[in-house]
Amino acid sequence: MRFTPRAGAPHWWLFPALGLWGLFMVGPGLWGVLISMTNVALTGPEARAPRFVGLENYLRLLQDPLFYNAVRNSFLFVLGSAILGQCGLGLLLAVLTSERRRIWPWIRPGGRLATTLCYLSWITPETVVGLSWISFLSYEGVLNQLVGVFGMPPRYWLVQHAMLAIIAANIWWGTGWSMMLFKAALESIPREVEEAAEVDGASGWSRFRHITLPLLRGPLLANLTLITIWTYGVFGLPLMLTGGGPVHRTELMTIYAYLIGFRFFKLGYGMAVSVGILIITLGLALVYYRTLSRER
Amino acid sequence: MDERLSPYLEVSPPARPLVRADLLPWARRAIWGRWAEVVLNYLALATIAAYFLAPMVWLVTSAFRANPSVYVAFEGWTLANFPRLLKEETFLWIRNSLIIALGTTAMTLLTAFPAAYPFARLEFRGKATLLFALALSMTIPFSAVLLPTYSLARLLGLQNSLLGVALILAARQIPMAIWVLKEFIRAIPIDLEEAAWVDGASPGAVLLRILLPLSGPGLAVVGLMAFVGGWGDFATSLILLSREELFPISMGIYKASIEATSWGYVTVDYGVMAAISLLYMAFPALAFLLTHRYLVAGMVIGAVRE
Repeated sequence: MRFTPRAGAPHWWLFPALGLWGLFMVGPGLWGVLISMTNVALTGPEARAPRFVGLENYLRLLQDPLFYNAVRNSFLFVLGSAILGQCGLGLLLAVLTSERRRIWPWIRPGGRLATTLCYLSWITPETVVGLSWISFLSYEGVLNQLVGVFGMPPRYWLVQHAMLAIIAANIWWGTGWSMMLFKAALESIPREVEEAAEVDGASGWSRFRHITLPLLRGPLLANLTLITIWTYGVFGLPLMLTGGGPVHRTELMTIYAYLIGFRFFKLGYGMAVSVGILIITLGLALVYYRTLSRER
Repeated sequence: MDERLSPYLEVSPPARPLVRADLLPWARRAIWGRWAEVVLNYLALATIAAYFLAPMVWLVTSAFRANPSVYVAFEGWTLANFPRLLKEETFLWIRNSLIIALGTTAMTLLTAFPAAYPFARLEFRGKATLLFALALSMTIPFSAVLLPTYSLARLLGLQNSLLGVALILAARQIPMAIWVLKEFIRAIPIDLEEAAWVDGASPGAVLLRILLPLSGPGLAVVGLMAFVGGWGDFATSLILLSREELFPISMGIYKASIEATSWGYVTVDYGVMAAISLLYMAFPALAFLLTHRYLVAGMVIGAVRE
């Protein structure tokens, strides 16, 4: 006979974990919605006696040109850094270094070097990425030394090409994940499929285009949604590199919310921006799980 | 000899030239195409490797140089930057980072392991919904709830408390931890637990004596993730900690880089900054080396086969 495990685990064992999770992960979401309907601030008279203002913060948000600027910047950042950058570069690296490509064996050491460096930058902590890139892009930094070799004048990269700079830094930081995922996906494609195509005389590019890419559709879609969410939420790295400047040009939504709250101390209004971010993120997350279950 | 066999006996292999003339251009193209492909591949790989290497050059060289500046130079090598980390404020940074990371790990394991057990073995109302909510919350980036979390933590008096930072970080680790540990517990045969119940063991004893030793690898993976998460955290410390003696390494590096960009590089000791950055990187690098295989294997199951 089998004993049903009814007595096995008391339900209350769930509570410490769910309590902590509810307090600090679900709680802030609900709290944010609540606070965004008040005019609470960190300083001034509103800090002493906040009052309920309803949807005033949201109406103000819809007329705030800086908010639209932040939405636009976030969109550009995600497009360049996640969709074109991390996904594209990750796929390229995975295809170039995939173990099963029966290209000259001595391309392998080169592939291994590139992969290792890519992983290394992926596991680098956020602030170290920031410090490295600040030094790399500074006027006296390595990039200007390299550019000088080709006879180009040095630039203030973080000022003159601020958006490009934070996109490049974030691609550098995040590509490892996409590469790892695509490598795993490539290894799971049956070897015979590609060999058959090779015997039939398909070139490298058409093998990739007509066989590998369609088979990678599932992982590709899932990964695109996931890194879109993550990249959209990137905050510390651009804060360190440009801090939203120069003149709001790299002010992502996350940075805008932070600046309103902690530089200008308007917590209630900043919370409205936060809720906007939260809604977009949750929407993307739902798309992600829909994609996963549809591909299953 | 039988007359009827003769046609078969006369069959010989068809005459075939050593190299078929009509295939020659194709072969030449194939070989040259291959060469072009190899060269192109190597060029692409070299460019990508350079892109990943270049931003690291300054950090790695400066850590081993005496009084480096923002220039990259290859001279004046020394190891003196590393012993200096144990003195002055950097020692405090390391200590605080360790407290946050270990606190996060302990709280994640202590809460998530008991919670994973009912999720693995019991059927209860709302279980599927709860699991989906946990998974959904995993994807929310911290920056989306930065301000509300700060406001909530201030209300609870968790400002300038390393424990508070660890609590919030543990809460963020819990969904993933429950999902991973749940799968590990489900993989353990239930017969062992049943035998223990027959012998009259209490639920706590079953958890500690039977499940704990058998879920070692799962706990190790979850613990490692929590540790690396706490060790690398920046945003939580940024909003909660304002007293400098509580700064973890991430905040120390942030503060120094802000000083460097706004005041010029006079006030910042780049040698120490680069050295502590390397030390800071070493932990996650080690963790990655240890779990790399499982990560890839888990992704094949999780992300690809799904």
